[in-house]
Amino acid sequence: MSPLRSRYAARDVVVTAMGVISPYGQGCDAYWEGLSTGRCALGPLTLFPTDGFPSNVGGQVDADTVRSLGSAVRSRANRFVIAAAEEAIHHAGLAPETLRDAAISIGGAGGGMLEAEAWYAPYYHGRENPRLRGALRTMLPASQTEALAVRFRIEGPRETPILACSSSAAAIATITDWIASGRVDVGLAGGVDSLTRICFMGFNALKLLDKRPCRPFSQDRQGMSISEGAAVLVLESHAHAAARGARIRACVAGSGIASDAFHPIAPPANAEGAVRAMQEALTRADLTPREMGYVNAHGTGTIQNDRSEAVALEQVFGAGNVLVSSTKSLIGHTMGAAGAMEAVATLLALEAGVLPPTANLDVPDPEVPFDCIAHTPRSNAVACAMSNSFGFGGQNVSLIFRHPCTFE
Amino acid sequence: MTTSPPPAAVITGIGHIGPLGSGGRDVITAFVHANTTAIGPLAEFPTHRSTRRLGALIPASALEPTEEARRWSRIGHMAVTACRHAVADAGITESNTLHRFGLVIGSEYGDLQSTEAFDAGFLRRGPRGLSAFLFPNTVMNATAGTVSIALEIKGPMLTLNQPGVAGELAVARAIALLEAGRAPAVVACGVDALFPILYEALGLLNVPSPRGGGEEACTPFDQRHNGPVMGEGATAVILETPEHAQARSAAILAHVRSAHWGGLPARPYRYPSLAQLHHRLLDRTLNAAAVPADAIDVAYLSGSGDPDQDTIELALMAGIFGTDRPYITSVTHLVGEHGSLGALRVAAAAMTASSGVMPILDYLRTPIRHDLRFATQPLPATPATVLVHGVARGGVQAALVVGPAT
Amino acid sequence: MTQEDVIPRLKKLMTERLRLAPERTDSLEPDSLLLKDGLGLDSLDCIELLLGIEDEFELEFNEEQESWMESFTSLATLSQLVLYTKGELE
Repeated sequence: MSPLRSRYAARDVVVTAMGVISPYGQGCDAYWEGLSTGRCALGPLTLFPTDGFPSNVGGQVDADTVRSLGSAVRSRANRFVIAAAEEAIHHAGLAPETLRDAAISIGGAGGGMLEAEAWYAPYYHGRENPRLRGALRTMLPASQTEALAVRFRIEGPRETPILACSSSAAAIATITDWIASGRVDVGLAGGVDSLTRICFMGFNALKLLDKRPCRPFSQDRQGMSISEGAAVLVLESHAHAAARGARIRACVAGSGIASDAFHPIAPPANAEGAVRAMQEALTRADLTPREMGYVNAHGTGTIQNDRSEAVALEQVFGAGNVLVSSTKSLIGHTMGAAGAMEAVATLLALEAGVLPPTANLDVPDPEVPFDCIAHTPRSNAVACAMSNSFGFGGQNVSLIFRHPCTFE
Repeated sequence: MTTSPPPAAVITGIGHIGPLGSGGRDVITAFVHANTTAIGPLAEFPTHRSTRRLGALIPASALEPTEEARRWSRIGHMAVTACRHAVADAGITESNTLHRFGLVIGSEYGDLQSTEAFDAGFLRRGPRGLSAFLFPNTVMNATAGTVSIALEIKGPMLTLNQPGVAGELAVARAIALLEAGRAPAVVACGVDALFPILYEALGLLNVPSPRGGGEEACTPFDQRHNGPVMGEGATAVILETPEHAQARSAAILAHVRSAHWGGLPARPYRYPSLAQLHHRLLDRTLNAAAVPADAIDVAYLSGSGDPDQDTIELALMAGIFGTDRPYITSVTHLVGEHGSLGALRVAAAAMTASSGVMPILDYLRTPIRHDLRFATQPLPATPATVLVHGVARGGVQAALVVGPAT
Repeated sequence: MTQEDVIPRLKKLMTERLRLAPERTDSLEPDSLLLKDGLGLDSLDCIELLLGIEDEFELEFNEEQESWMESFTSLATLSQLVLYTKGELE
């Protein structure tokens, strides 16, 4: 472990709890069990008919888990995010009056579109079903944030950031900023997306889906695998966490947000926006690339993303100078939830001293000059780790976490 | 003498496209002065599947198809137009000035028009009916992507989905970006479009006027109020740190003295009840601005005409202010309601702060409260201190204090 | 089916699906460059056009993008792709 040691500042932002719903099931334990054994959770999607489309492979939260979340809340996405938040809040042990003033930022792309699609199809054919109309009230991604505010009686500043695949990474950066500036002492940051027909059809239409489970950083990669899930983190100022004796899981050391301003879906060949996001995160964390022990990559498995991301990583770290792996190879691309779910994966890896692998990496791409931890998890107690999200539309977010042992 | 704290941000440019015009501060000032409404029977799309007839749309001639706009969605086109007007209004002529700017877009419904068209393609013809152009637009940040490419904005870019107060939130959130040092300047834009499926769906949900009988009309704060009349538009505000504005010798239109947002307790999709109201956010906003309540000259409120919203918003005002001031106004009667109209409220507030011009609520016959003062006569043409306040379904509340550039 | 049959249908697709002005597509020659050195179509345009081609000519392209992107160099190369995939070429 690195010799990095410093003191916490009062407004440093720390993670005190996490909650997850993933294709591995409910909870952080199930999530880490899957990640740390390198088990690929991808397979044929069964949530809706997939006939007539080239690819039907993805990640899906199993039906038993979904049933166990209850049906009191209308949309699948809202059920996921409430369950993830419940786990996080339970483990954080926050008092109701603390929650009342907490901030919320929950990123997501699709909202309750799955249920809205079910309303729209008969409407389109001239047979609108009024009993399905309620889906329109939970259709927007903002309803996810509202669901948490109502359930947990939270009145602090809230927002629903939508940055495609970087939505919930931006949520973490946002809450970090608001705590650091003193707007709030505590915040819930995370994201959620459920599978939707539109997402499935759209990525098929763009020919961006692999017919097999995705193979990030492989020479023969053929695209991504869509998926779903939710993750919520409790973030606090160090002063607030220390005062109430909360267990500190990690420090959010820094973050970077930068735009490519290049193309609606393709990254620029020079990966300039991704580089700036990583450099801003390092600057804000007051860390050098050498001090980073692991990068949890965006790693979607598309030809373009992985190539562009490798260029960006090489520019920042130099070839081969950091271990890299893709959580999406294990659980798929969870869209707006990806940033937060992969942040949780990074945090659990930091805690355990075990780095999850890149699954399905049979033939590493020689143009990716990094050890991408093929197949098997790697024991490695790193002190600092980075988690990257490089979303459609040139939305780049980079997060850096430090292990508590790097603080006095 | 107490010195005021420095402003949270300065406003250096405003831009707009809506049913009453397209341009910078001159256009906005002109239609506020003229005080005529764009609301009328909708002619641009059929309303036979709806139970409503009124609305306000941007004329097609204001959004001409161009080579550059070939792949833009309509809402993307609106946002680019408003942002370009704001950038010009701020006196920014070099495109590389915007490379370090941030961009925050607030919207309630985003590009649902493209989402519907995409899904309809599948319902019509199966997989063969899908369009690759439309799919990226089904995620709400596509509009921000379009703006950032067109204007070469390369700083942090955020899209915020928020009913009701998406415009105020975009501005407040942009200020938080300045506060965090993420960018020295930010383009904040509220944009929402009106299109047939949205108009019909809102009718099915019984959102717009006339709810519960009465005449279909836009009459916020009046006893006749029975729901909003829908409109559309995009408004952009250029916010800078005072240092950045000074460094480029920008002319400052107004100061944002403080900006805060939070949530009042509410049931999902509902406005808070009277019993749930409190003034903590308003107190915090006024305190942070170092502006006492009796120094607020004008208050721009959501004023959509939704009876529940009108009632609680005026109750909040009555709780904070006395009977002498402020003059309560809004812009909804001019251009119709949409979830990000708050950005136009902020832009209009900047003009009010600068020169005293404000919309007159000339439709108001019998206000639902008699202990408040409404803007029924023009103000003297002098700078004013303005509150912009909004409250949304689900309880999100936003408040900003906008003052003259000192 | 020959290139002379295919090219007008490709031009119509470009107008309809890519929203290009009819004057621009009508003026294209078989060897006019379509990508960034010519008309300026990018990868998203090519995917949209490919979907249109699949629909119009009742074809299916499932190979990775890099194998068919090169065919978008000109109308001539694009019509070769169509004819080849339909089995009309050796």
